[in-house]
Amino acid sequence: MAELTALQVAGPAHTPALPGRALGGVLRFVRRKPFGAAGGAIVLALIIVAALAPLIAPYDPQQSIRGARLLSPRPAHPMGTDNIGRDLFSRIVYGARISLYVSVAATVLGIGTGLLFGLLSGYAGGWVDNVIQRAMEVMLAFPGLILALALVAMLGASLRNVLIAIAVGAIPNASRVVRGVVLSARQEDYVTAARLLGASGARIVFRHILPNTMAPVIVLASVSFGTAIVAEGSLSFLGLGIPPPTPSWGGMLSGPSRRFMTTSPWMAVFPGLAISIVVFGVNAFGDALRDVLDPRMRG
Amino acid sequence: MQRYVLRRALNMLPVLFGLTVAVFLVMRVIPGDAASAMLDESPTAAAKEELRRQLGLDRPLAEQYLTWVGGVLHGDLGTSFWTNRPVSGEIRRTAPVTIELALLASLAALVVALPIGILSAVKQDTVWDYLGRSVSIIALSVPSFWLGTLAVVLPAIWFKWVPPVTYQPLWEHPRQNLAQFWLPALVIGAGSSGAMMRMTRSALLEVLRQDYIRTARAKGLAPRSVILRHALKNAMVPVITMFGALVGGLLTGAVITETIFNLPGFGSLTINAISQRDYPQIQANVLMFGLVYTVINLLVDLSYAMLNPRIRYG
Repeated sequence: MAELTALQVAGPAHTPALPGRALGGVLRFVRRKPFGAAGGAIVLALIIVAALAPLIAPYDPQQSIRGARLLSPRPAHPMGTDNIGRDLFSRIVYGARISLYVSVAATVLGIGTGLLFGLLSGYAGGWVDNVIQRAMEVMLAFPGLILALALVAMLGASLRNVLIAIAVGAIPNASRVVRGVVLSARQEDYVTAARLLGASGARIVFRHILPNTMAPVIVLASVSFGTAIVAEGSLSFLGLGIPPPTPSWGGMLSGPSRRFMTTSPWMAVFPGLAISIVVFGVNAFGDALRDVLDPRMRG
Repeated sequence: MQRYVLRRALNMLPVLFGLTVAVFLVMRVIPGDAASAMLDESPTAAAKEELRRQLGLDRPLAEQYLTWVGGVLHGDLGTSFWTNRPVSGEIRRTAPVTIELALLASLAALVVALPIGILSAVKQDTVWDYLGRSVSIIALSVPSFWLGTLAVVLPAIWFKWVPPVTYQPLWEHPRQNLAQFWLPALVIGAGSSGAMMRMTRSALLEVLRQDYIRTARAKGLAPRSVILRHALKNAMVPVITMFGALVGGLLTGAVITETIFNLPGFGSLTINAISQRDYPQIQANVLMFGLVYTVINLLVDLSYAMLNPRIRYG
């Protein structure tokens, strides 16, 4: 009887419309994980700033303004100007686009590829699994930035190559986590049932096993997103990232501008602050997401 | 235990073999040519061909690989395209700088992370805990290239102080050496300490819930003794695992901070080799990074047993 009541309560007549339910979910998340929600707000702000960059930025980020070299922060230039007279606030606003683009694209590419390798490795087993896992071990034997440095050094510094280099670093972890989930899912009754019903290998993997890998994959993606932002910054800082004059947060801290930083410290402070705040947001949001989605991975 | 050590060491061989193949292929197969990078803006085809022949780049890939690996197995890592000297000499010259930097950075990370992690766990859900957790997440979020930049720029503005730029070896001028190394070590250590603080906190929290801790408390032991003598030792097992993962961070941190602080270490050597497209030097350096990383992770694995005898190896 109690079950019946519960069913009645949860029945369609009492279920709010989808936007209402989503809003309820968000409010619950904010109440339970205020720290994570603040992180989520920072990530959302990054997305908005990146999307509306032309409306927010008062100046062209690549254009020098005549007579405006090394100006300290003031109402007309809230973050000051750099050594060739470009408005730093506008460069940071446009830099958000680069950071967001590189980190999202590298995460999707890296985690997506890792996911496919993990599914194949876990489901096929045998020599396929062996070959893929040994290859992943070799990739794990490189620290991420060193691997990215080597790849960019060979491919050449460009937005696309930086993205590929960062993505490659995300593959091995994703493949190992997904492989683990697939291996345990293979033993489950629902997979046996699907097999007995005559489902093909591909259908079992993509229809039945794939949804189970989503929670750890989303958690991994959030970690990888933050790592990618720092990696892009580090590569650009070392002069092997996105070539100037494209405004990249890491790039703004490197090159000839470094000579002016002791006299114009705003050039050193604001780009790094932007990266730190965004990575802080991604980490805080990712932590909360991990607690909600995958309690086994709680640190 | 001995069998486990042997098996793990043997397992490293295919990984190291794979590393040599990967490093070699990354350097040779992907477009980009050392010969054109070394010659002027618009080299003639003949000049390029001649240089390729001199560097041995015109030979079949398999032959180039076997020559290189054969050399590596005999301790010859290759000869620099630019200086024409053995690349191993450069590695020997720069490695002490990076090793010292990594050791000091590890020390800094431990000194910062352990007390904060312990305080956070012991005072769980108090203001100290929130403070400790905030510090750890900030440490995780601030990129080392920015922290390093600030560490150079701000003291120069505030105190008119710049870190010494001429490298002095530790064994010749220890005081000058440490004056030069403490700041970069702190920058790398700060980056690594965030993850370590979190791991110390969560590992200690888990151990504090165990029965033997309750027993120790019930016996009337002082809280300090329960935490430091009973709980911390077991909580260190996952922290040390973490340390293995942090070695990667220390190495990449070294690449960045050596560039910022002008230290002639292995990281600077790698960056210079990359900008000059000195393939043999890059190949050797990346191989060394991989080797060090793999060996340290093996040592970390083996050290578990010393800290926690319940872990048995099959």
